[in-house]
Amino acid sequence: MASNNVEPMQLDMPMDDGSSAEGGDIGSTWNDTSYSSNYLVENPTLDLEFYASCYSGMAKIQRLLFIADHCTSLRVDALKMALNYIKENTFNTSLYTQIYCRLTEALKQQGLTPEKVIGQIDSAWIESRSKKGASNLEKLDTDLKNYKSNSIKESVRRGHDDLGDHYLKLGDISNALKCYSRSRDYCTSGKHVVNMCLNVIKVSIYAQNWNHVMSYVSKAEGTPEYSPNSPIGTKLHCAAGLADLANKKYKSAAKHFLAANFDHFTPDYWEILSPNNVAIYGGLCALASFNRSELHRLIITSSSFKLFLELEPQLRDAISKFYDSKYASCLSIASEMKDNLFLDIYLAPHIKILYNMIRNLALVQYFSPYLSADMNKMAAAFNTNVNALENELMQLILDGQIQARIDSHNKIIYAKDVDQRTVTFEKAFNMGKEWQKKTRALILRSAMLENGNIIVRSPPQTRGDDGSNPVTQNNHTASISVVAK
Amino acid sequence: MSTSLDQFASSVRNLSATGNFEKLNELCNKSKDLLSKNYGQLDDILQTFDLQEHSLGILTILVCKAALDGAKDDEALLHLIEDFIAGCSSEQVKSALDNYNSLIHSYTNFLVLKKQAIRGIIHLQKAITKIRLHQSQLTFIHADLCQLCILAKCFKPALKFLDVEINSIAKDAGPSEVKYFLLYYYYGGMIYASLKNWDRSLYFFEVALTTPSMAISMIMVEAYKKYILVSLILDGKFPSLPKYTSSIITRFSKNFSSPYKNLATAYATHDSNEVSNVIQKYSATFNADNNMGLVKQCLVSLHKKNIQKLTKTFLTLSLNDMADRVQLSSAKEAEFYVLKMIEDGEIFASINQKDGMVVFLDNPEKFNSAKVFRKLEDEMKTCIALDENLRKMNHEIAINPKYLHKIRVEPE
Amino acid sequence: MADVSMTCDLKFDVVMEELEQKELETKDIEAADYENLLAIYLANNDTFNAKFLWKRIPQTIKDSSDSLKAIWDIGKSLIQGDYAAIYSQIDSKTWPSHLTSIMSHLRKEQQSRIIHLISKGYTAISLSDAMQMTGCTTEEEIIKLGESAGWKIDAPFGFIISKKVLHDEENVFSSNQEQLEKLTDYVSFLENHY
Repeated sequence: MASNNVEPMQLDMPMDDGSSAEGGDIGSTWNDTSYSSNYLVENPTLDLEFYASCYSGMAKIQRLLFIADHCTSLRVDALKMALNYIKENTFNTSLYTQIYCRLTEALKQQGLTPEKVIGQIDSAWIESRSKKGASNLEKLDTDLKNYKSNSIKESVRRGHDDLGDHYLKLGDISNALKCYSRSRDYCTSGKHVVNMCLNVIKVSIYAQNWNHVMSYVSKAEGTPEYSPNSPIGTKLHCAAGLADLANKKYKSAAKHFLAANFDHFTPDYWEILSPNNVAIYGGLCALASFNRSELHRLIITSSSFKLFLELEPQLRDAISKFYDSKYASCLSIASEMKDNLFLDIYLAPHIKILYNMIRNLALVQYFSPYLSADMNKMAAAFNTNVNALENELMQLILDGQIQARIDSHNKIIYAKDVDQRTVTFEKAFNMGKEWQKKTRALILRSAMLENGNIIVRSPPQTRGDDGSNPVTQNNHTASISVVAK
Repeated sequence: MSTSLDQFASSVRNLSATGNFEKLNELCNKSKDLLSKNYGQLDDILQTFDLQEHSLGILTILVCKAALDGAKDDEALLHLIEDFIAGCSSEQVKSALDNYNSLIHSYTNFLVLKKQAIRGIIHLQKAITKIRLHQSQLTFIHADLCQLCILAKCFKPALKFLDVEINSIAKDAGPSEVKYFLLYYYYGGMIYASLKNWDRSLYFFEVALTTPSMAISMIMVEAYKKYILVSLILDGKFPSLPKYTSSIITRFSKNFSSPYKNLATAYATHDSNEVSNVIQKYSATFNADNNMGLVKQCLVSLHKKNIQKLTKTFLTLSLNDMADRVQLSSAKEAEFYVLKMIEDGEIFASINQKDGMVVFLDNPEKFNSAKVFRKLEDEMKTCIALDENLRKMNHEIAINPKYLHKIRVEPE
Repeated sequence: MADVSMTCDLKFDVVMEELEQKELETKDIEAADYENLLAIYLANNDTFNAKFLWKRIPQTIKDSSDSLKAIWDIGKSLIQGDYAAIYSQIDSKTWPSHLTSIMSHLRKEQQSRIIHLISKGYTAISLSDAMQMTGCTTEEEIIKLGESAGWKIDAPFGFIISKKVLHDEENVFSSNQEQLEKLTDYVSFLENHY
């Protein structure tokens, strides 16, 4: 729209200079759901320490690195934390070196001298660690071979598991996955199977191989001793939720997260997700995809999910405001949260889409009780101006989410009733025409087959390299041009 | 006159009198060489034949004459052919369709080369009616008529044949005749496209493309390109070939048509600037394929479709806004487009010049008039008739001894 | 008015078919025939046939006949939607005798078509535009025309056209006997098949 001008001041969205096209208010992104991974978040309100403490293992490292990639202010701290964690808990020397270099870069950009802040790269550590790592690996390998020759199933299984753990510590995800999967053949009880599945799921999440996650979740759920309400059940629900989220199946993701039981989330319960994550993922997906009754029944009045939501009061506020039809405040709260959400490794690619869906749902719900609505009022309720709103509504009408028409002259939107009778008549005529056309084609085709000679064949002497045969058409007719008016 | 020619002439006369056309045809085909060698005396023999009684003999002689070098400049030959078409016995020529068709093909070629296409139209009409068994039978010279009509730019005569639904195809010799089948539908599609009857044009191209085939013919390639363009103009989307298309077409169609596919992708964005860019980029290809006219119409139809989308979402809209949204150059141009579309019945709207607004109305058709009722009844009658047709066809197959044999054998 | 124009139409339709047949038989077809045919196509608003006719007229005949070129100019204006030009092109030329009746018929047809279109397509139209599109030269003329078409004057701007519900032109009801026959057909069809 050539006449589209800058939106009036949004309540709180920081107009990032460094951020890419997605910056700005929610209203302007009504059609922009693309995700480009090189954006920067400027003013997050994340407590990095607390955040990092919820996770452990490779999950922690991945999350910290994600934050470091996308936020300059937290970059140094995140990298430092990651570095220390790696040093203390893993054998991953290559990652150590990488992070060290990035940290040096970051510090230099801030104008500090790296050596003073973090000291030299600890090559002694690197050497000793890699030696130790290699030797451990060897030992585990030989142990495993021994167990295998002794054919003690239980030890072999445990050996595989240990090997997989070690590979993770080395940072080798694919080998870890192989080892965990191999322990499958040595499982002797349902518990073992579930254990194996959980390990595979964990590694698949690291590798972001969501199909694997889904299949092993269903495998684990199929074991006889599985019960949905156990701690293991909760883990599986969350894993399934993550996979659905990654595959953009937001409604089913929300349902999975809702099945999680808050009481199971003791500290160190699971290195991958914290209860805050469950609250946010579940809450946002639900807001974007549930209808009003579902929202009310499953989220707002749900005793189990309430416990999760208490961890994220902002989201809880946003949801209740949405249900109370206070869309402006709901959307503004949501946009406040947006920055932090962009730093979450699993949620970031979906933020735009989810917010878009939430906004569209809000528009549809806002309009649903009215026969006609004044677009000026509506634009005010949604923190946008009339022209942008007109565009949004036009898109919604074309998608069929609203049945209405816009009176652009007076800026009113009128609900339009679909006249079923007319529609039925039109459908009937169209269907009749279609059927007649198809039947005639059928008759013609059977005439072709009856004739028997209507087949395009290549004449015997041509080369027919790709099967195309220049049965020559009259070149004179090629000079016919169907001229436009 | 040499004796062998005499013999030939008298055998023809005898066999024609007895009505044994099969033998007569055999004789004629065998004698073709003989006749070609003695082309100087062919005219004399012709004198001895009567047009009605000895049509087959004359036909053979004419075929040989047409095959000679320099035949195309032989004005007398053309007249002979035209007279023959007018006066021959349809019973006789129906038994010698291959010769008859080849004569007509040669005649058409001559006219095309001499750029006298319009002359042949009326004769070809007669030629077709002579050999077809009933109105809905397709012969292999329908394509020639269409070709002449296209070259002469006179479509009405062709339309009389094109508008008829075909439900049987003339039995003919020669597998090369499939070319004329394809050509008929290709030319037919072109004719309908130039008259902007997009629906039927699309149907014709589709028939050409779904002909059973084990190899691809260039005709189908060209038909596919036009098929894409017409589908864009009519529906606004890239067409998908029906399931019963031969696999070889679906496999290789992509190779020939990438500029068209790009055009379709640009079209799907509903952005006329994009489409114009793509058109610019591939203009050489489009021009070489002689499809530039259709391509330009795609652009026009894109504007129209964008305007139609507006009618679905807006009740009133200012002309300026409309020009912006549809990427037209000014409100005046928008007004012109809208007026044209109202005239053609493509949208329902009214323009208010006083405040520069357009009001979009719903389709005023409420389906509650006698006219609609009548139309409904007519459509139902057509459907019932078609269904009757289908049942008859089904029945014929069901009592066909070959079919019965097949289904009896299988359960064993 | 209806009756006269109907007979006019029929007469021209007959002439059109004769001319078309003559063209196909390619006997002595001359410029005058082409002119007539082209004009008849234009009067019927049949731009397709007009366009293709123009394309197939031999160049020699085109060069020899001024009237033919003038008629084609009118055709071009019709295709491009330049309604105003049509009237000036018709009026500015003195037509040879064999063309006068068809040309005035063309003008009348064009005008009535435009009036119908304006009634359908506009709720308010300025006087100047209306004058241009209908080929009226004075305000009184267009006002008279507008009133006879049922438009209200909104001086000084132009006309306000209220929307009338267009009534059914056809009033074809089949007799009871026919209806009964059709119903039996439908019922027997449905019963026999399903």
